[in-house]
Amino acid sequence: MELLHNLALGMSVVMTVDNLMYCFFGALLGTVVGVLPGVGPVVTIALLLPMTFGLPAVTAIIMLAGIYYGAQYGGSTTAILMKLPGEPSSVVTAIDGHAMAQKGQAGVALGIAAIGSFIAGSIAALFMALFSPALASLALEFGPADNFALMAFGLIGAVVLARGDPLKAIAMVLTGLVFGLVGTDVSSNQPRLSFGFSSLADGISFVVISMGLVGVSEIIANLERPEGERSIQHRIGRVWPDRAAFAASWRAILRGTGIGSLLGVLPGAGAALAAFTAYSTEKKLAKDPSRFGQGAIEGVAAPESANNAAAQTALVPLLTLGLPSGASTALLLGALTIQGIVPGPQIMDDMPDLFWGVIASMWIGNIMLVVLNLPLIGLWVRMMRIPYRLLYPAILLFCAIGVFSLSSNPADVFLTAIFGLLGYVFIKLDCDPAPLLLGFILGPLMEEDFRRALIITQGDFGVFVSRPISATLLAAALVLLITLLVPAIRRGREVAFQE
Amino acid sequence: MSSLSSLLSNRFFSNGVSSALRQKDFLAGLLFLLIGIVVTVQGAELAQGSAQRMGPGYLPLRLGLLLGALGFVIALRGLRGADDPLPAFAPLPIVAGTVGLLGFGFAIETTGLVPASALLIVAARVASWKGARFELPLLVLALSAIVVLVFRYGLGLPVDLWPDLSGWGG
Repeated sequence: MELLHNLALGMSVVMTVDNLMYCFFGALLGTVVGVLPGVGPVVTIALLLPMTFGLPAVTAIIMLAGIYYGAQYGGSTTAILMKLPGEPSSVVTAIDGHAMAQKGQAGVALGIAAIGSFIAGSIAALFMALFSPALASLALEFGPADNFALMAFGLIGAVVLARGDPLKAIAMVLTGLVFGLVGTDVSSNQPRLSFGFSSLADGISFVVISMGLVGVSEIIANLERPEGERSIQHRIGRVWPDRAAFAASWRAILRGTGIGSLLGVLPGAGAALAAFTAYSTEKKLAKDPSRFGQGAIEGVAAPESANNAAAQTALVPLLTLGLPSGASTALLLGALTIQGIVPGPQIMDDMPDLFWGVIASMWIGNIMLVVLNLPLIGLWVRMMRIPYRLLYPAILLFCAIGVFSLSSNPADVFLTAIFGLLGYVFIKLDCDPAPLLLGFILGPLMEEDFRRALIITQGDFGVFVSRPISATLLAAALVLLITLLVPAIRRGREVAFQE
Repeated sequence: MSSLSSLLSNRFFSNGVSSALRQKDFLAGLLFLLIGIVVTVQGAELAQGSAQRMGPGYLPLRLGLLLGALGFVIALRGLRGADDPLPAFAPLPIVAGTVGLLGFGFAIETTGLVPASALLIVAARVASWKGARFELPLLVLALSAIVVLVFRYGLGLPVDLWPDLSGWGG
């Protein structure tokens, strides 16, 4: 009964004209920017963040949530129509989705992706509503040492699922932590690592880091690839799947939803792992696995449901523990911080309207995505044909103004240029920026908990192993770390990634 | 020691020093080592405090050392691993992106939003000059209009649109 009461509260928050409008705006903008070629979901969220800064907290978060799943859906659309997955979570969608598109069934692939995402999103929202209070009440028992251990575990989880070499991913996490140290030390009021620049005294804004590292650097990297003929499917065909298509895919949608809802809660790139697991599950269960890769509709329905469910349940640890699971949720955490909201177990008691409003808005947002996407697919296709030479000046300009609008300080724009160059170097060196972003956002929070834990115990590091929660989490992190670094297991992981 | 000398002979003398120095992992390790050293040196200059009462330099020093050590390991491994050279850098996109942003940063407070936007777009387009003759002016017009509408009027960003010329007349 309490659940119904809470959901009703959430609905009452969303059902204001303003919030509905911003939820719609968010989903629309997220999809529009997300379908642009060369603009992945993380860049989309970073680009659109400044639009939410002037809004009241609840409205801003609702709009952000809309941007978040709009961007996810935009990424799937480019995966199906152009075989260009915007981020790892839609890589498997591209396989059968694009094969369907080449057979003239692009519309059905997009339709089942939208419907699967909607079903997954609705079930996952319910899952969130059921699961979050339990997790939050568990987390209320957490002391500073436990919080520190939890975030350490989250960072290692991000390393496990980062692309490429784990040693470099760990180094990127450490680099992120170091960038997070820049600024004034809270307890002594002394500047740290600011190299005498007054604009670094307040630390580096996460908007600057994310726009530079993922936005600007990707523009530079995209520009050096020759703009060849992209294979966009012009024939979309019917969008609403027929009875046979539904019959073939409803089980895949439900299984994908289950897999995604569970895996999304794990730290690391939960949505990518969920999509991959859902795809291989369907392939194993299929009577004729050879259809996969040739345009099997389950091969679209399952991973799309899974990544949407996971994208949503990833908000459970984000809101109740303050633990982001990937680059996109790390950006959401940064945006929450700018709004003055500190996610954590107390958020459900302190700000029930915010928490339940977000859950309700996800459901509403998913309806909007279906309503928006099915009729507008033709428009998305046309937007994909915009040549990159017209797009990238616009993206760069929005980066520049977005960063400048933070505090009307040109130094932020200069810093973005520097991080753009650094990000480009990282791309060349095969260093995935996601672990750095996560380290950067979690760094200051971890430092605070680390310090507090040691103040309480008067400098005794034993607290991290004597508290059962902290000890368990750190042990789990250690096990993960060892499995990463032992060569035999690593080879297995590489095989799994290639499959 | 023997492994070190075999390492050196393999990479340095059979393929040449320059080939060793072009390895992706070696360069990545070097970059992390460099960041680690800078942070360590900066951190060491600040008060350290104790675990119970950490000074501002406590964590920078330790994280810097850790990052530097890890960078060293990655660099060493890069010398020994399979040949994986750094791909070429494209100078034009780098210059276009960077100059565009820097130009915008310098122009925004002196000339206002519209000229700064135009400057960024023109600088950025240096990286790809293709397209019809009127494409660039049209792009400048369209994007400036969007930006002014969204940021100045939509979001109320307190910024001038044009340079302040009032002082010039007198």
